[in-house]
Amino acid sequence: MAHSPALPLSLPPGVWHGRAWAAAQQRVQPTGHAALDAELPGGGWPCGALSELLLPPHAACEWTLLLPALACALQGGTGRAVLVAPPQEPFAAALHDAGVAVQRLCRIQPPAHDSADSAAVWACEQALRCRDVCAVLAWLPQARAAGLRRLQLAAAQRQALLWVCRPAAQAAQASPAPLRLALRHQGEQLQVQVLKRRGPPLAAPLLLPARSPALAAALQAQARRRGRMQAEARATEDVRHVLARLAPAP
Amino acid sequence: MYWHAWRLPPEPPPPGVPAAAQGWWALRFTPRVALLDEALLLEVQGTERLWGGRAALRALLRAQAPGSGPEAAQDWAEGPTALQALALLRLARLGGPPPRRLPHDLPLSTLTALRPHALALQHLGCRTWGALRALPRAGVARRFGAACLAALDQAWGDALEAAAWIELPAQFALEVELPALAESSTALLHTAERLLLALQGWLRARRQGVLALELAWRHDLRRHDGVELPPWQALALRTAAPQQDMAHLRRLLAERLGRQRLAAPASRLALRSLQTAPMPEASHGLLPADPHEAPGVPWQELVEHLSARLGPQAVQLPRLHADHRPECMQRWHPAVQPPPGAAPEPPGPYGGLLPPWLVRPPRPLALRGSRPCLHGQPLRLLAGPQRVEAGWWEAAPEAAQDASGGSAAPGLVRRDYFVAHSAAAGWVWVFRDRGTGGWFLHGVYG
Repeated sequence: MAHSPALPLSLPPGVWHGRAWAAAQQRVQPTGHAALDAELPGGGWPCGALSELLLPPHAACEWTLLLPALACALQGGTGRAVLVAPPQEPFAAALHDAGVAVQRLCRIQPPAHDSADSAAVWACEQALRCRDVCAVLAWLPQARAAGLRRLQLAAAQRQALLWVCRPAAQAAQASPAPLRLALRHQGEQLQVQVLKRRGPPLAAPLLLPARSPALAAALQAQARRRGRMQAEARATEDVRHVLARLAPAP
Repeated sequence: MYWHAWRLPPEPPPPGVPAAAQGWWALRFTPRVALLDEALLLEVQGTERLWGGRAALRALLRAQAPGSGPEAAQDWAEGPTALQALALLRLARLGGPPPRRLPHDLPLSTLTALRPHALALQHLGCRTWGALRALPRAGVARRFGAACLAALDQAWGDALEAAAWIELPAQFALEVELPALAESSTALLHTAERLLLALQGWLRARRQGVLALELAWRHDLRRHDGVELPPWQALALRTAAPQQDMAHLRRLLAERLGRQRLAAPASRLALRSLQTAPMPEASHGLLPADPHEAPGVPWQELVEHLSARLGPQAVQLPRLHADHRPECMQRWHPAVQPPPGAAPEPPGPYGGLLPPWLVRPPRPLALRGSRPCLHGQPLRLLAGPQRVEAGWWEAAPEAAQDASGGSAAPGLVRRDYFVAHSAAAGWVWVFRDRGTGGWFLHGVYG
């Protein structure tokens, strides 16, 4: 060939250069975190694709990441969101305070002995087929890759939001999800590592605030109050020392 | 008079189903429906204006007839009299060419009354209706019987026809014999589906949708493993919206039957409609349907399907209540049986530092010295206390009882809430019960 082996300029849909972003072909839902939006293809959670969140044990930090997007997805319209197999009881009052339209949430609790989460995966699939469901949030710690692939296909057909929370130990396994995020607590912040996305690999993990603004403000106020009280206590201690020195020796 | 003849499905209805049930679907289009030999006859002249003309009614019938497949062209025929329509249908089934003159050129064997004599007439050189009609009537009546001539006159439209019109029963209740003894509940499903099809025809003719129906099966044995058995066992299905489309009911029935265990082999199956409601007539839009409209099942069908498979308690909707006690702020109700009364307006923001996960019931925490511990590590109290003192008015015990220890007012809650942290447990929401002094975990921030 006389020409340099340059790639053709117009690539078929679904193919993109390794260093560039995939052309945004689907709707996205902004995450509510500007730093995270900047690192996701299209600038938000993909509608019609499986987004996988990998959580360390006992972390339960998915709400911090998802609440803004969930509140936004349920705003207006008549769409509903389905929570499949949450590990504990979601506190609807707290979600209400975060702006989520709680009356349009639905909790599905499959039976306790659910081998490979098959009942939960089935429930997700059914929910994704429903025309009124706009978001599905599922906790599937034991689901197999075949089940996840079915979910990915179902989500792609209905253009709904689908988040699946899985344990961090599954990070090494292959997954059909086009977007995989690993979450970790790092001190006061939430560290988000993008394991897989339709775009260039992420150099450094993202840091997001781990706590809701209200809680962070309350903690800060309490810390300030405590610091002031300690300073006051130290001051009174000093004054007492000075007074003791001033006192005439008996 | 103008008649349609529709071929009935080749397999006979299961024993117990009246033969008329095969014609219920057509009662929607005309009240004059009759069964004759192997065909269903519809008199459509009286109603074709209502349906927008003969061609429109023909298209509707072809779309709605059960079991109309690719060979549907051979499944129906139409003619000015019932017997002509039937004869044309038989001719189409045989694959013969359409007659040049109607009804003169119809073969003799297409008229039921002439079939026994077709061979003898053929020897006379008489092959068509017209040829037979040209013969002297007195001789024909003497040799072949007056019934032949009467049938021919009816077919020609010269004599009146008396048809046994199908009437729709006021209540839908069918009981059928199973083709074989059903050992498992899934074996009932095939017959149940045929009953559902009959129900669909009945509903369409009545322009109703079913809200509740009951499927019952008869036990073959009086006693099984020494246990007296009731003669019938039943299963009730309910839907929130009136249903005429059987796909959803079939799914629900399959789920319910899959979970059902038969106490003994069953020999008979019965389907009854318990409650029906008029079907709301959907009006069609002027513009063609939006191609971007989301396909998929409606929400209520999803909820019913999930509840049928997983149990009604597994699919829940939250309701918020204005209360200060966290465990009373929300209640989860089964989505298929919402509590009576309209959903209350969501209360204003609760404020406070509510965690997104609630631990129910509150988990008692171990103490190390005076500090509560979780996962073996002492917790640092970082925000609080937030005092909650409520529920003294409540006489009935609530979930709070285990925390407050059954004092005079069981619903009484006197607590100080703190946001606590430890490296192992993360950020949690704990409270100290002011009555007993015990510490409890009540929420997780993550």
